[in-house]
Amino acid sequence: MAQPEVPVFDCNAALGRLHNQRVAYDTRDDLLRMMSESGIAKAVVYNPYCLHFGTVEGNQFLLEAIGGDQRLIAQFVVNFATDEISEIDALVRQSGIRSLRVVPATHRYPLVHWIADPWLEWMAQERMALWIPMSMRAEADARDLYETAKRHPKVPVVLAGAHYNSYPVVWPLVKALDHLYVDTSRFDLLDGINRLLQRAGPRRILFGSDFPDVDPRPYLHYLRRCGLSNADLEAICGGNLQRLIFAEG
Amino acid sequence: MIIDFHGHVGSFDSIGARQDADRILRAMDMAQVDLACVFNIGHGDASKANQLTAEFVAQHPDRFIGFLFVTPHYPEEMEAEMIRGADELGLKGIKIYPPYFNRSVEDAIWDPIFSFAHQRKLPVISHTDGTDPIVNPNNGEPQMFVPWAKKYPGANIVLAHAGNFRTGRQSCVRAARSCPNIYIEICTSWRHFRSIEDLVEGAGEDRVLYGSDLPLIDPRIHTGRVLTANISDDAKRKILGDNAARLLHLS
Repeated sequence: MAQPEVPVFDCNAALGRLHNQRVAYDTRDDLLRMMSESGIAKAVVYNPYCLHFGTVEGNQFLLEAIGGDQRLIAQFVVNFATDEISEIDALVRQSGIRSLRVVPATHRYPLVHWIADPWLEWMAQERMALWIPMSMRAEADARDLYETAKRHPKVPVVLAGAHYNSYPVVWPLVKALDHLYVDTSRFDLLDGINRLLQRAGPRRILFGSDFPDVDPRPYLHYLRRCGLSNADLEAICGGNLQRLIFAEG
Repeated sequence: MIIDFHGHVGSFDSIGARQDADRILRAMDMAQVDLACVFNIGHGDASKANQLTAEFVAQHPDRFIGFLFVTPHYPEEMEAEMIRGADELGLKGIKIYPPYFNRSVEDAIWDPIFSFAHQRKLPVISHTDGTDPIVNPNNGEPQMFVPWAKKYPGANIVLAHAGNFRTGRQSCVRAARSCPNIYIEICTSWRHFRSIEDLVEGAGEDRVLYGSDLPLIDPRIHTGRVLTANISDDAKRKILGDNAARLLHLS
């Protein structure tokens, strides 16, 4: 019943310590060991320091933590309300960054067009993708997310950590906008993968681990027992993310 | 044999979990789950809930085992409904959900339920959550079940969700170590690293049960948690089915 191994590219991993709790797995070696044990070849990673403190500082910490390891693809966290595009643009070019993550609720601003438009226009030019956490505590109001994302169809938006409690928001958003993608890391709903496939097709589903909070091995076990074609499994496990990040395929 | 100890009858439409026996059975088949224990907690009228459970089980009696449910808000109905559920409807266990009903586990209102389970040698499964019992006294903190387990040693008490979080898991382990009739069921949307290994090391492989929370959570994810854990094959067999079979008097 289980399908053969396919290359796995994780869309949702954090690397670094938190200020308010001990993180069980907080080093590059921890992450690489987990990836190896789980059969994950590459991962998109961000630094959690950016969430509550400094984005520019935290992104720099991330690059230091990655230390040039090619298996870890840096994702910058930015604050659309308070960061300057010119500053981030320089850092992005210097570091070869291909995706950004925003956390509007945590950073205390609404994801509205008069804040986000300049960023998303720049991201469209640079062919970058945007991650927005929509876990149990959604980082953006669904109306704001819809209206803002709709204005920028060339910027793929990944709903990171979409939890089944977020279903009433995630489900209609995915139907309404075809440049929204779903990270599977917390999407545990019964038969959720096949339902997502019917809803959005195989090219808009991305495997994510939610490291270090969640063990990815059970979800990979599940994905290999969904009766997917090898092409769909390969797309979900890594091909779609490869295309988003590196504009391939 | 794989037995899922935690499943719901009824719909949870707001999170996309409408009752669909075919979808459930398909997922169980793909997860190689043979049997699932199911209960209905959605009705103020427990007789309605238990009737729906019995009807659901009757459609696939080879795949589902029904558990009965009673509401603490109608204590005068409890005993008669438990007798009806067990004797007339053939329900094999009891589900309680203290946080959902806003009654602390420590409340004396639960006494007739644990007493009934003790007399009938039935398992009682309850939602648990290891968040702060002072901030949220109704949350089903695992330690709160210890006095009931000691008072009613014939009742096998199953701590669902293993306390959900790390502190909750640790509390479940302490509870299980202090009472031989306390068991820990694993389903949760928090799939922390080493959670299964920690439960086995702490409470022992004879005291941990596989559950999925279907139809909210896919059963393949939680069989995956057990099957990918760094524990012995013997421990995996016990968690996935042997322990549940013992509690359900199937072995």
